[in-house]
Amino acid sequence: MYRARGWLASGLCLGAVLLLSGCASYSQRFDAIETQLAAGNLSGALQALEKDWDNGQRDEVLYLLNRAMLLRMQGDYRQSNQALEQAKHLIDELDAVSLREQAASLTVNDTLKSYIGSDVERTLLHIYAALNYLQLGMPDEARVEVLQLDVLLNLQADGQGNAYTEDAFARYLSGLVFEQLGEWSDAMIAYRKSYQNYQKYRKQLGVKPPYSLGLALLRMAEHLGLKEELRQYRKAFAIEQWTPLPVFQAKGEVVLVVGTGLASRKREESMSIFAPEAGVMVRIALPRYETKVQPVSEVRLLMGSETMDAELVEDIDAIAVKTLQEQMPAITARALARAVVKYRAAKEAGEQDQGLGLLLNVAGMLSEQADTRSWSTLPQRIYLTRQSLMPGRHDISVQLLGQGGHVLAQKQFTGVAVEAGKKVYLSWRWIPSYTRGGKR
Amino acid sequence: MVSKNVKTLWVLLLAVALAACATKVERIDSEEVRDLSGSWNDTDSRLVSEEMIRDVLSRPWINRYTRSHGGAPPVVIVGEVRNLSHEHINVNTFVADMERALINSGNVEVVASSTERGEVRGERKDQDLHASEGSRNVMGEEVGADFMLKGTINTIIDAEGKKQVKFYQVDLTLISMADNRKVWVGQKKIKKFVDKRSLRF
Repeated sequence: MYRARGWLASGLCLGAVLLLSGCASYSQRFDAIETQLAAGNLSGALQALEKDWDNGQRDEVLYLLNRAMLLRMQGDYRQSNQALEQAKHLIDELDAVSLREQAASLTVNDTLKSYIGSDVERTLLHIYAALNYLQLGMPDEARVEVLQLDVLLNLQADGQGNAYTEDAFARYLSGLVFEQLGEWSDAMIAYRKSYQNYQKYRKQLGVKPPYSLGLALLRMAEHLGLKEELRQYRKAFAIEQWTPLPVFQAKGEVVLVVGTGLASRKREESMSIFAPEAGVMVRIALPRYETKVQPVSEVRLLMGSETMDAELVEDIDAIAVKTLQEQMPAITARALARAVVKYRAAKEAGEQDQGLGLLLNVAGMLSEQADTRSWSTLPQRIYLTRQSLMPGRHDISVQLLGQGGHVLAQKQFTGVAVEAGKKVYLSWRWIPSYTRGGKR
Repeated sequence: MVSKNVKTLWVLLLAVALAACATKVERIDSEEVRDLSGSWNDTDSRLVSEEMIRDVLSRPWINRYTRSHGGAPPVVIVGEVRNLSHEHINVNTFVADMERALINSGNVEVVASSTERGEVRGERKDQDLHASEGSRNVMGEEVGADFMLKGTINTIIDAEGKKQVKFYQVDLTLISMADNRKVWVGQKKIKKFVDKRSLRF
């Protein structure tokens, strides 16, 4: 007993020392980057990220993911993919359970575990890698990412969780890549899986299957002669007319992906209780999403006199909030177990030596920190629109409409070259100049 | 109590020291097999090129062509080898291996691929202007290829938890430029079982 207590005490002391050196939580440290992003200063944000990154392997995945996203926003798709590839390898390495980190998370706090990303973040890693390759005009490399996504999604579907089991947008994008490469049956399978998962999205997250997915399903089902499915999708999407695949392929297509806002961040919520019988303070800290307001209500594409609405394909904020909700029982249980360990250590040490007891109590309190880490440079939402166009050069403009229907922001793409049977990917990331706020 | 703490500290210091060792470099033979992550690596690339080279040079298409063309060796061009696998694979290494083996066998001639040709043509154009009459290489004298080498790399992955079975299949085809006939098809299959570690320090 004495021996065990000794180890415990030294563990706690060490934990306190570790934490006192880097007390600010990840979420707080991200403020500097967010300020730069809100000011529209991408290189400033990158500098802030490089400056902030100091603590070795534990947060390296997070650093790489944020770096990749900022580089992508700068239009440096190649380097962005390098960072994503590094992140991928690191996640693979860190996926194994570390006994040391598990012990630390049970005695000190959850942030001592290496960050390997949530399910949706790991999916988005591949999605952004694929988009980077598509924008670089390398569809074969995007196909590699899509195949890796397939392995990942199949593994995730076997895991727990109800709100988010398989990413519908990931499947939709896979379908687009296969369609671009002329692999019709693979495209059909991906579109079909996407549709099935969007039906789950509708129930859990309030995201409908996109109309453009309906058109794609009809085109593929008709081309592959799947009569029964064709009938089913016609009814489900209430579409009577669509362009048959050969006619569609004679034209080109512009695919526009718009990311809006900055993903909501986790904040720490803590509670301290005094246990009078032992003369010890107990503190519990838990993460909670601080949801931001959605400033954008509509994304609109304008071409000459034509307007077209982009559709919401992924609500990253909603998924993150739902998954955290599902994880809360486990996180709370760990926090309570920690509180008991810290309480007993302080109490027993206090019985022998009051000074040591107090020291351990303070160390235990200070070291109690919620894990507020998340890929914070992600957008809140992803919108997508597909526009079939005649080969040639086109001017396209995109408008973001606010909740009141007014134009929040506008962007022009001039002279977009469209080729027959090919897809051109355009992307835009918009971050409002007021990012903080919303419900606290 | 205090001595216990000191002991713990020593153990931790030792652990940190072990973890932060300096980078170690060890030279190994290029033939040596060393699998780290289970992904496509140099050994796979070498196995594929060895298998393909052995096969392509031992088949009757070369002799058949030389016989019907008065002893002239066939001219081959290396086309695209598409990566349809789950990994970002560098196909250039085994394509280069194959090209080298074909040329060195003396039975086949290889012409530059479409990307390489661009640079050569640029240089020839430059010679037209700047090189002396005697050393100038004229345009329009290129040798056309009789066969084109094309291929794909495919994978099938079956994964469950930390276990994965990876199956690679590399297919190469030699297609006659004159009539689209396939004169040779080479295939190499590689299968790996990857069991990722589930514990780390």
